[in-house]
Amino acid sequence: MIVLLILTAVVLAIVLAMILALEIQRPGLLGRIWTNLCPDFTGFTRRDGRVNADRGTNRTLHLITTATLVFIVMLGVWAAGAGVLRTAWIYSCSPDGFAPSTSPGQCRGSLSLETWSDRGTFAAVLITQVMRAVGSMLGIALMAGFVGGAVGFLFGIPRYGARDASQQQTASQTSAGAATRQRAARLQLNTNLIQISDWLTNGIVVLSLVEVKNATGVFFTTTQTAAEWLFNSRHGSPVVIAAAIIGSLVSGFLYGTVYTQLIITPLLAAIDASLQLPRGFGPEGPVGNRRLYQEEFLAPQISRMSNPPTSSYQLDAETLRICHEYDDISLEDLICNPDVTFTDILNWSIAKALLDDYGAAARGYMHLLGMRASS
Amino acid sequence: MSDSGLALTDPRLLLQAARVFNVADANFRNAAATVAEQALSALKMQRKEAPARVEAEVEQAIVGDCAALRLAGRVDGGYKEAEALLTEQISKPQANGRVDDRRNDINGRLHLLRALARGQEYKDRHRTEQPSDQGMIDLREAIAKDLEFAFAQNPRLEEINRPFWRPDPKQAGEADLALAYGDGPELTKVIQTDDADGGRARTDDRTTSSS
Repeated sequence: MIVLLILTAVVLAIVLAMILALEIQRPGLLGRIWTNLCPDFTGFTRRDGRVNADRGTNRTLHLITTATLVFIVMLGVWAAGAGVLRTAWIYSCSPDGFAPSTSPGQCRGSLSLETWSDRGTFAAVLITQVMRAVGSMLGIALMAGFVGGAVGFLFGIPRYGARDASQQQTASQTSAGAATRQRAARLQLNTNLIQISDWLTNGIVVLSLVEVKNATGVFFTTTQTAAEWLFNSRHGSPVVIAAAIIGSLVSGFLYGTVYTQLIITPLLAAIDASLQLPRGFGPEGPVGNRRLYQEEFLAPQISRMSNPPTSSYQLDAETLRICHEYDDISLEDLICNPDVTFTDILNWSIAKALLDDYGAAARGYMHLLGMRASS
Repeated sequence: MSDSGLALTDPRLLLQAARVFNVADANFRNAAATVAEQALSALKMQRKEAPARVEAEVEQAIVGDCAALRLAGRVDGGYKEAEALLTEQISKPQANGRVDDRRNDINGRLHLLRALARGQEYKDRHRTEQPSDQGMIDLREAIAKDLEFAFAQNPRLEEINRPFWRPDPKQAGEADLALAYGDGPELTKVIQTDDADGGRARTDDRTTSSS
């Protein structure tokens, strides 16, 4: 009777401690759990019809995180109960102390702890067993979650949309200075990880299809072995451990994929954008062709006078902004890149000319003419 | 780097390059003249092979630049070639077969340059002919007509280009119209520049600069 009361008290204490610990960190936890499990989708779409990406991102991640948290708490509760039950089983097998072997029907040769009081011994065994059960289950879940997260990261990592030669050629042919971002830059994003992710995801999919039968057998053998080692296959441990692994894998995969796509992809895109060349000047852009020759924004017309009066033009703010995007790019940096396009160099030269850096602009045009002449 | 076009046949690019070379520094001065001539060749080729692709602004800018180079003596040919070049552009028939001076010279620059070419011719003939000769009078009238047209297209030209007929001492060698201006009333009827307000030649003009 006393034993049962103690067991009940311990279980309740553990559960309450877990909830309390979480509650301290995040006030209103239960309310948040409910909110996240039942997201309010109103407000996901803005008045202009566009998706509210920030809100959607937060909601999606909260949903997955909450579901994972609930899953982990349930695992913890089950593990605590399993620890208590295992303690009771050990106690029933050898009430005088620990049994070195706890296999069924082998409760012989118990390690006697006569110097301890009965309650103290029991409490120590109980706590140890509960910690062992909870720790091992959370460890298994965490490991499976990491594996799932890593796979999810590989599946979620964005493809690098580098333009191939035909696309570059098309862009060049469209117009000299088409307002498209050029991929050529001084630095480029390292795409090794992206390539590896391509290979691995393809490999994982192929292997999964080929080895699905064997994998299932290996998986259940592993879970059975773990259940035997940890809980002597008692308390439904083979099923729960299998469920813990599968659930954690799925949660980790979902979290890894969604996190990668929603958080890491925009970061990669932002970094990639920062490494690209500026947009440049399109024919429909701020420096239109007509203005270029009518008002000589680019360079003064060739004059009969040896010292013609100088003209000063006020470029609009947008044109100035684009021009200054080329400030820290030298012609040498530009032409060293094997992927740089004719349009990149032309835009660079135009920017320098508009900022009255005619010496630099002349070098750019000289390179363009020489380059084209030799092509 | 891949690019399918040929820069040396792109008049627009060559025009840009020539103008940038022209103001870059002394090392690029010769390159400016060479590339401007290349732009003219590319333009002539485009006129022949793809006349629909010829852009009026680019065409007039190239012809104007090449004429200015000849008038300045930076390219051989002198005023005769410059005048021929300008007359060809100004008299160019439109798609409907008619000649439209205004469309052929949108900002009046070509007429001004032709006046300068004729002014150089006037200076040249002035060595052997008298201002009262009918040929010289006709030439002054032709210059006046060109100036009248140019100023009508762009009134700012009159203010900016005053050194061509009212030069400062340092610009005397470039005063192509000074003789014609002083020899008869033809030009004074057209040119309204007030000496007392010679400083009206502004340098902050947005529409065009000197020719």
